[in-house]
Amino acid sequence: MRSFEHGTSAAVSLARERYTGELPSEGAAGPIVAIVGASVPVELVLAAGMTPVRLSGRPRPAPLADTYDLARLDGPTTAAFEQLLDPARPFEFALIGGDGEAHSVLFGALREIRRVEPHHRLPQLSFVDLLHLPNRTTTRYDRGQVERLVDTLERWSGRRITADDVREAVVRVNGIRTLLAKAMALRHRRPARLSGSDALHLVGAALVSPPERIRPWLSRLMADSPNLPELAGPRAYLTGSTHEDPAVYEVIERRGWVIVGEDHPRGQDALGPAIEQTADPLDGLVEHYQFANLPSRRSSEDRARHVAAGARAADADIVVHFAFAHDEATPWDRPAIHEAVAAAGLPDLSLPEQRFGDVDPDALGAAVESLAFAGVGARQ
Amino acid sequence: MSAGGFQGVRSQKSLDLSRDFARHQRSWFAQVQARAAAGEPFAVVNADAPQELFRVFDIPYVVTQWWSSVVAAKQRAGEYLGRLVQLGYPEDREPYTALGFASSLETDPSSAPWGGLPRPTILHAVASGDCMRKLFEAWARQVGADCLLLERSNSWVDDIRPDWWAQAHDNWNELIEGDRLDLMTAELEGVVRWLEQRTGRRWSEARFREVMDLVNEQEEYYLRSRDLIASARPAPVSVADTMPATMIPQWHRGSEWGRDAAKALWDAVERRAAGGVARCPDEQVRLMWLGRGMWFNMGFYEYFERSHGAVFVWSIYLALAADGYIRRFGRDEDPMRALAARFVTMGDELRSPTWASQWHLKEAQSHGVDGIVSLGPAGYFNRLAFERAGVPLLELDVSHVDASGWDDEAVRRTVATFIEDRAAPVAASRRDRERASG
Repeated sequence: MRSFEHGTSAAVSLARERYTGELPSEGAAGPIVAIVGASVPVELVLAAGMTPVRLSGRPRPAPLADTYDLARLDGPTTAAFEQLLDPARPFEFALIGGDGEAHSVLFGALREIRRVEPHHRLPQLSFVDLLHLPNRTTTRYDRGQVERLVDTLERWSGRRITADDVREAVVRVNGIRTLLAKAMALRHRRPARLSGSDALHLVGAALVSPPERIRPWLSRLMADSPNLPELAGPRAYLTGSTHEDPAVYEVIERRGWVIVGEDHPRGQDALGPAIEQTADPLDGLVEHYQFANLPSRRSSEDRARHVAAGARAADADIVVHFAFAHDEATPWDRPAIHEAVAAAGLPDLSLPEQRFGDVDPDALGAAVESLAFAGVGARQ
Repeated sequence: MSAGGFQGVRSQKSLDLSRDFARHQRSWFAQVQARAAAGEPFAVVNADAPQELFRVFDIPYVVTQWWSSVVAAKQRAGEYLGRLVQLGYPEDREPYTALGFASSLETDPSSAPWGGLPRPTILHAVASGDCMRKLFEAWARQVGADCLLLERSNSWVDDIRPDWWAQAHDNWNELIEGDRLDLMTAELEGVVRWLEQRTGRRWSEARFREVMDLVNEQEEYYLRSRDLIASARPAPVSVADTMPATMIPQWHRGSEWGRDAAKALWDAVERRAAGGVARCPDEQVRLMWLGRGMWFNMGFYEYFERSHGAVFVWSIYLALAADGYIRRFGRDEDPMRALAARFVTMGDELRSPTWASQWHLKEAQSHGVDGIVSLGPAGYFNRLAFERAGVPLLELDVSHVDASGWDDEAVRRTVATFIEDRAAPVAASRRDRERASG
């Protein structure tokens, strides 16, 4: 097999080079709107002529955020909080989505900072409280949230958002969804043609770049695909916590494994399936984001089915349940995932209570290598 | 006392009614067990979900957090949570709620607290936080119950009123975002329909209004008790009295017994205050207990009465009853929307930055509190509010569920030092001010 560091597409090299987990300094087609989380309809931001850029939750020193010592703020949200508090930030607008409890805490904290510490220069903020239970009552509430978001963006951008604007934006992002799905399918081949860490770089680039900027990269990758190196190591499907950067992937793949898929919202499912073009384009958006891939909002059984199906589609040899210590939700999923994965005929491994931003590479590597002794990946 | 061996100390209650309520609770729970054993539907309902609907249907129910407090008081938390771990579930995510799940795994009722929690047929919760949905679904799967979840919306307006308590009772329609009220109202209508079909029981709108009126009456008595304790010097009762005397009847909201229990508390508090009967006749320092109750060691709240004249006069239990629950509505208004208004914001009072910090500060000031003892970290915005107002704060790093980590000597020493060094000077100034103002 080949290591992930070896030759690959120029598109991947570009993603590695330019996507460092931070906001891009170039390519914005309009005012940047910082996005916190995976449940903000970025299509509406594009429809307003603005540029949505997902804030990275990559571990970092957070001296401004740490001042507030918010108990219910996890590591990734703290990283976003730090960027929102930074007076040197390159954006003046921010949308916070309702991915999990930490995001509502974040919005509540920022709202209170504005009230009790008005000397802070915060961006213009809005909380998009899209909810995720699979009921019509939720759909109706979410519709109201999406309409409110349209009003907010019209106010921020100073332009009216028409139905055609929304349709066009959906087409633009759907194009990326289609290309990204094709790129991710390169990992599902046996042997894989794209490493997990490279996939994460590409997804990361797509989350901070305008569609027109990322499209040529992904097209180039697909054009290069016949010549991409073959990655023939044992194949792992990753579930559990969200990975804000490829650090954990790199540790695992350095041991000769390939991460061929994952279900967290910064991985292959980051943008989800294509959005249906509905008569009223807002209806399609509502449905898409109500059922967005948010592990903390999904039922354990639904997630377990998704993981088992995803692992099989990726032709994985094992499912790895990796959980950061801050993650309140994913430990509850573990028994259901174990059961579903076993029913699919796959072994699984649990790596609980991992330290966010401080994963011990030796311990993680040893855990992965122990699988080799257990015969996992013997098909290679 | 070394860690791990602490057995807890019972409090000396000033009010007989706490003992009466405890006896009622035993008797009520025995009835619930009997009805469940007889095959009636039995629900376990989270504290932030509307139990009122179950009362209208006369479906026996137990509130998760009450049951967890029983398990914790019997010091079975560690053992029970260990059983969750054996099934692959975490023991340290939402442990207070998980304790309900864990206790459902008990197979020997004779050794279980109070004869054990009956096997629920319905589990009901708001899908709050990141794991409540998953926890309840896992629990339901494990015991074969139906899982009834309500959506939890979050406040999204740009500005919220910091004096929410002044609006919550009568102007809740303006305080809370309309979409959030619409959502919860629709969710509750769905619960009613589901319960009608699933249990075959009949909904009565007249009974619903009666239950809603009883809840408001009950909470009005708490409001009066809270206000009297806030203004009385010395305090007629402490949290060792009011916590159990409030918490137990709160689980019976919407019943005549619950209303009468709240009235009994008011009568007792008023009688003591009028007669000049004090919890601590030599009251010097007034303290606020911020956080959930130390149920396994209620004696903690009176540790410092004799040694320092320090009385815990405030806890969330009575104060939240006073400010958090009342939702008045007119005869031409929909009581379901009023019920929704009670639960849409539930939890915000205790946790959301603006809501919690401003309310805690208001309560500290109205009660003439000289120091605040917090169960665990109080949070930045609480700290900021208290600091700006000059109210000292002690953040105690202890668990209210698990006695195994309790170091009694260390806790006594820490709190005593806080009282002596920080709260007592504030108390001296307050007493001077109060004397001057008559």
